[in-house]
Amino acid sequence: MKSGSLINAPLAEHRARTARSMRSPLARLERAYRLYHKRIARCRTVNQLNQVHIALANYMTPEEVRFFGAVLAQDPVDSPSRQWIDKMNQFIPRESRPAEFRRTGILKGMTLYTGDIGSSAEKTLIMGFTGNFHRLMLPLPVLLGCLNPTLYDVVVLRDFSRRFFSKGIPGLGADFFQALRNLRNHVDPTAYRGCVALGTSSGGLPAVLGAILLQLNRGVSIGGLDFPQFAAKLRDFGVSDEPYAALLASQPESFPELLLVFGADCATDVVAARGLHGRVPSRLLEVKTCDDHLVLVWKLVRGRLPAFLSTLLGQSVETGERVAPSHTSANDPAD
Amino acid sequence: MTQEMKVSRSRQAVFEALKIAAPGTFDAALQRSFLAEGLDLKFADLNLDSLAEMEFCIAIELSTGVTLLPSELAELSSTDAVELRIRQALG
Repeated sequence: MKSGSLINAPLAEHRARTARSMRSPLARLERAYRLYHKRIARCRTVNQLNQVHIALANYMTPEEVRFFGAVLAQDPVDSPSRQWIDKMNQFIPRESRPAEFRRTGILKGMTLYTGDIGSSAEKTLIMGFTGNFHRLMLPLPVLLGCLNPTLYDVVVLRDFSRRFFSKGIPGLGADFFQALRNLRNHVDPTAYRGCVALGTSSGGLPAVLGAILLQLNRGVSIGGLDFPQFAAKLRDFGVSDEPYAALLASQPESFPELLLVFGADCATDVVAARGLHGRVPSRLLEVKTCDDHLVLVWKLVRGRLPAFLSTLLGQSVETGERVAPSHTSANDPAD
Repeated sequence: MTQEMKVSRSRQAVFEALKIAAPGTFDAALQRSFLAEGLDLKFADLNLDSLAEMEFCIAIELSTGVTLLPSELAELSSTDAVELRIRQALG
């Protein structure tokens, strides 16, 4: 064929039509479901299916979970897909919001969730430093379901190298410091009303360090490590802990409020939080009678997750109004 | 494949799977005991939640091709039993 134009014209038209149709929320949801269906059709074992479900639960939005739930309601009750989505759906608010979180897949290790409503100046940015299995202790839609998209954006950072973010984030930088400094090229915390770094488990201490480095409003570590354990792990990975120690010891003018959260009956986490509390100006938040490392799950099953998140953020997840701090012990810079 | 290589591969697979499912488990001493001295770890002591159990089984399947279900772990109860199960499946 002499020219590609005969092929390219219909292709371009098809792409434009697809792009137009993808602007429709329903078309986007239907496409997501079709992709899911196609993907699980290739699964030959329970483990392959679980792998797909685990990965999806790390990326989906509440809107997608509701949509999948509605479609999969036609499946038999014992179908693995229906059981998976029903389990997640029970923790997602039933009513959709005027604006929903949409996923912006910027980079492999970084996803921004934002609602098509309001301006950054009216919103708080939550910077999530994930722990094991790229999670903030919970399936992401459950966490997003607690937040009002009018008032919050969420950027999820994933530690694919499983090295406490010391090997950076693909596309952002090859180490922790470079990755966080380059983050503002994609999401600028200073454009927001406020910014909170929130990390769980192995992401806990990186969240604290990130909050100090970027001079955010607040850093929250849930079930995170104390610095000596963190430093030892870094050395095992062949990474110097010195710049991290220097950052932790630094007292920049705009120092974040730091909150160290742990289950009161989870011995390892108690020791770690108290240890870190002695090293950095921070507040301890002890969750009474909680013997679970997965504090957020513990709160979720008791129906107290939204209120607890409001406490962690220092402002209501629904209205953005300030919430009084709750703490057992303070170690303020003036101490 | 020799019997010795199979044993080594299955133990290594269990070790790598545990590093994914329970990342804080192994310090240098425990790693040595597990890999070189054949230490048997009980799942009850590892405190794997349901997600970690799934990740463990996924990792075993990806590295060995042996399908092990999360529901089987309670019955198998320890790493030695899982290793035996892998060796038997590999033939």
